[in-house]
Amino acid sequence: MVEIVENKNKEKALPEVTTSSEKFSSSFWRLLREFVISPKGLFGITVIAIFIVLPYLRPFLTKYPPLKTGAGGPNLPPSHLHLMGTTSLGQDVYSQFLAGGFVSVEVGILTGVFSTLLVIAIGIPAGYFRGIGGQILTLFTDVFLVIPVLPLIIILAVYSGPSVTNQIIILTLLTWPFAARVVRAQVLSLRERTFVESGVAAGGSSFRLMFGEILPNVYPLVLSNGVLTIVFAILFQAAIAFLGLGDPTVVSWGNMLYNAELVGAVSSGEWWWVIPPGLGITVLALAFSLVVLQLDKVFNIRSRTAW
Amino acid sequence: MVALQGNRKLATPLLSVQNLSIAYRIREKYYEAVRDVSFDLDEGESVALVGESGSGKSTIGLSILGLLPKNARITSGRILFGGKSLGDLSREEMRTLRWKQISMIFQGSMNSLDPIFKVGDQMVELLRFHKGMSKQEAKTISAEFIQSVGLKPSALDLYPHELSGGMKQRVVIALALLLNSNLLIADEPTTALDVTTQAEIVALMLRLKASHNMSMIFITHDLSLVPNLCSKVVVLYGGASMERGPISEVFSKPMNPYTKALINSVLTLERKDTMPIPGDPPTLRSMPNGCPFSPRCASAFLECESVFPEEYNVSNAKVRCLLYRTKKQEQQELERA
Repeated sequence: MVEIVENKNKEKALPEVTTSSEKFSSSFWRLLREFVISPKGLFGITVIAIFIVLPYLRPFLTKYPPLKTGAGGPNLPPSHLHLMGTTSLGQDVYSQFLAGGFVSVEVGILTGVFSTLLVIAIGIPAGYFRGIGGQILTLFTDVFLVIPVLPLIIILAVYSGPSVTNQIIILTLLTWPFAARVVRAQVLSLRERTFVESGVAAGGSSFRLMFGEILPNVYPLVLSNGVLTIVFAILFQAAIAFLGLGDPTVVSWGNMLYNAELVGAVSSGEWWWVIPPGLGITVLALAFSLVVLQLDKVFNIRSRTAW
Repeated sequence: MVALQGNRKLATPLLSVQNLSIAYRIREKYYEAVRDVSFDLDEGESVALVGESGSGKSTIGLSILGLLPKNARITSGRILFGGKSLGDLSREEMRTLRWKQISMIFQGSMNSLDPIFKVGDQMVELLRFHKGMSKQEAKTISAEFIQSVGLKPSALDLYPHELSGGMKQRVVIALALLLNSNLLIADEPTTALDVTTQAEIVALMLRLKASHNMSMIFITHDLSLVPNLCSKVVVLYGGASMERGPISEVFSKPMNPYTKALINSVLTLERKDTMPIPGDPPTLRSMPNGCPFSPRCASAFLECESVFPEEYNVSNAKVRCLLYRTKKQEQQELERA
């Protein structure tokens, strides 16, 4: 039935048809590789990986448990016994530093994941559906957007206890509306494009169009916003702990800063107690930021070609 | 090609648009963009909807697929597809009808390819979704179709932005034919292409139409494309069908003053002194009460400004113009009013 090849002088069609899907998956690995071999991507990924692994390596790197008081004398400056000195209670700062990064990464990544799921589940329908449904979802987003952050955290810390789980829940609830607004705006524009209209004409359901056609088009946006959320969550988790609203039993960089501030470590010149956690937070946030930058670059479809 | 089917009337035409009127809501007021348009389309037959921009051609095309924008609604008339009224279908039934039975090439269709999926993946997905084919089967069929529109199968592995305008148009045509639907609505499929590419695309469509025995609604403002592709034509102006009938008749001896003026305004090799129509087409909000063409019409008389003409039979064509009203018809209309 189908027999025509348009131009005689066109090359004879090659019968290599089967490669389409293998090529698709291989293009995914190319993207991944392109991401990893770039300086930004490599630095970001490496730093994040190190901070995830360090808490597990801690027993091999130092003999002092992080919270053991009197591991050495109080307020000792860095030495070969205590690489980063000790706190006013004689706890080993190096051990605390190694262990403290884990909470930051945990809170950051989990908040990022949950927040992104909410963004997809609410931001996309909010933009896709015209009429009452979309309006309700948009209103819902706006309501969350105007909730004042600190008072909420103080209240929740008082009523539900300052556990890490609660922090993740609070940070998730606070971060998703920002990205959801951005994604909604993009979806509003995408839903009017001809390819979405053709999707409707081709018999696609709303669900299929939202998550099969529009979502892949906003992936770069969703993903980079997700990673930015991680950065925000890391900084905010540290801030919460620094304000003394965190869980005091958990070793975290924020708690270290809080304890140091409590005894006036900065004014009495105990820099070794303050700089490691401060630097840790900064470098970790920087690492995630670099990942965002590189993701943006790699995900630009104009640079995608068929391989 | 399918011959004119004036003598051989089928019992139920594939598509029958009957007295269709569509209105758009602008600031709480309804304005009719399509007024009392009717036409029939038999299997394997093609009809052209021609008219200037704003004449309602695209609106008619979209209404058949149930894709009218939210602020538009069908105010009267109905669309029968295979004898069933499309207005009575549920959303779910409509959804299964789309593309399987009626497919569409959109205006500016080069943008109707999803930019982040490869051409081949989009074709495969359509086949798998509608026909439940295996991936392998779908790929084979996609390759067949991409060749039938004159591209190499390796084009399946390209992203839309890697294709030229003409190639994208070919892909879109392949997508529209992929499910062997009964009816193809082609909304200005050659605009935004240069003239040589246009000619290639028209030749391609002509050949595919014949080999697939597909019915087609060809929406265009370019009169020169029509005689090649279609056997019937509906000339639209201001949302109303000014004249409709077999191409041979309408184009060789146009009757409605608008059709005459339209044909006279086309540049051909034989005729270099074109006659542009003075004035501007009416907009939705400044639609004349009577014949929409009356303000620009050279042969208009007083009644044209107040009476919206009915369609009058003139040999094989139907003409919406008071000039062709007989005394008897005038009498009847008066009695009805």
